Amino acid sequence: MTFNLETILNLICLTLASVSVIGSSVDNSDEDEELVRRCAGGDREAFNDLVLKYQKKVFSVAYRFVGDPEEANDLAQEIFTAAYQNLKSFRGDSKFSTWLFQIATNRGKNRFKYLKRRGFFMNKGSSDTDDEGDQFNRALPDQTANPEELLSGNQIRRAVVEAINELEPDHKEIVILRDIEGLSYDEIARILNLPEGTTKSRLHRARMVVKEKLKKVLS
Amino acid sequence: MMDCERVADYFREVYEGDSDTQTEKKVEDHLKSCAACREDFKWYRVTVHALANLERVVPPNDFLEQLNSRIDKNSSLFQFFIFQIKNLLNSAPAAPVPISAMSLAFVTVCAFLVYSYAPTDFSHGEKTGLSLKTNSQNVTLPSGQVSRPVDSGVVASAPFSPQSSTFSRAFVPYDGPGRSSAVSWHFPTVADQIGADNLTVESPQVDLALETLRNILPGIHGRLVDERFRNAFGEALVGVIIPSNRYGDLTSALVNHGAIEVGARSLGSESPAPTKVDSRNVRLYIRFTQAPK
Repeated sequence: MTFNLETILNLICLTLASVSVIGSSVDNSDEDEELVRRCAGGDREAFNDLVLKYQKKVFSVAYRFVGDPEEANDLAQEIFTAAYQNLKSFRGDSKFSTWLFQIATNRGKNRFKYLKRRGFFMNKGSSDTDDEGDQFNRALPDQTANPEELLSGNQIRRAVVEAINELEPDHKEIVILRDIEGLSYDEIARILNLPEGTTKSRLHRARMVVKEKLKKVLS
Repeated sequence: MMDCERVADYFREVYEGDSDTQTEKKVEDHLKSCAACREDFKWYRVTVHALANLERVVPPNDFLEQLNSRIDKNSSLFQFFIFQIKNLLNSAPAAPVPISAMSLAFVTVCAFLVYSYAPTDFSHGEKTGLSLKTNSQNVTLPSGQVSRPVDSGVVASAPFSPQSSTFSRAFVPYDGPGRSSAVSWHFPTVADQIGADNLTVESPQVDLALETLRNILPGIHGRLVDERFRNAFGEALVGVIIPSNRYGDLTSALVNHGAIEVGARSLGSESPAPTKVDSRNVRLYIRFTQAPK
């Protein structure tokens, strides 16, 4: 068996990366634990540190659920406020990030249902089309386009966003957590309190729904 | 060789390298030979890739300040209360529907209880001009008769009148005594369910049957309120008020005390009044006719 230099270097890099990921994860967890402990004791600065650490991820999840910056801002603040008020009930059975994402997905899913019932996404979709209709129509690909070539266009992004907004809430949350936020199956299963197998099969079904919508819109 | 439907089930595993070698090989073989599945898999890849490459969003710069001011606002007691309510509605957006439904159910139950336990007395009605006599009217009854088994096991026959037909509805219009409105509504009572209405009792000795009725009424908390006529054929017509849940006892008692049949006779041309029912009592007329000897 022969190893060339490139293969060996790759292996070393991979090993170092794994070690650093595991190490940072442990550090993160310890750091969160300490911040949560201080926060539960009334230290507002510790809470601010937690907010600064997770605000991008929480805001991103919120934005994916509601698809609007202002709504996302309100939702993200609601998520952190709920976390702040319930921090004393956080028993540390799971990681703080898992607990926070649980709050975020629950609130996000519920806000999504609430807005959907009120036609928020329908109105939004039509207004977007009105604003950018011409541009959108011009950008539509021809029938022979290769799907992979479509990736470069804005239209696929818009189509994806619309497809996500039309998903069932259970499908939407799993797509957000896995495909958009890139969380591991293990973490998603903990957040959603589902077996890992169910998480995977549900994600597959959600992707297939999005795929069909994309095919319909773009081809 | 896998079929197309099964291949699609393995898209995720193959795409993420999560399948065993054998499955992966089977899927690859199928994709090589099936253009439609190949295209489908391509779209699958595009979908996952597009999802992963959506534009990144960042919170506003003053996110932390906004959040802190929101938390401070919520810290006052009143605001905390409002926040909790909003919290409840936001965390369970479907809550308003069950809450409304529960509120409605609660109000309905309360209204029903108040109505059920409100004192009702027909004699009061008599004082206020709503007596049987003033309400008396000739009702031309259709020839149809409706027979129903009652809880005593006796077949009671109730003439089918507009009022009796309302028993099948959820609510029965009732212009009860002491109520100002012409029509009020109440829930179905036992009397409604058993179809209480004016009765015909056929007895070989009408006098004895009448006496029997007078004797049994106190036992079932009922009373005689009207005695209309005695004709040449020995027929008698009496009005009684009984608790609606004692209707079966009345018919049983009449049969046990000599009446050979309860019901199953036309009331003839004259009927004093249709049965009156409120939530607790039923007022009905009983016709005693001479049984053929």
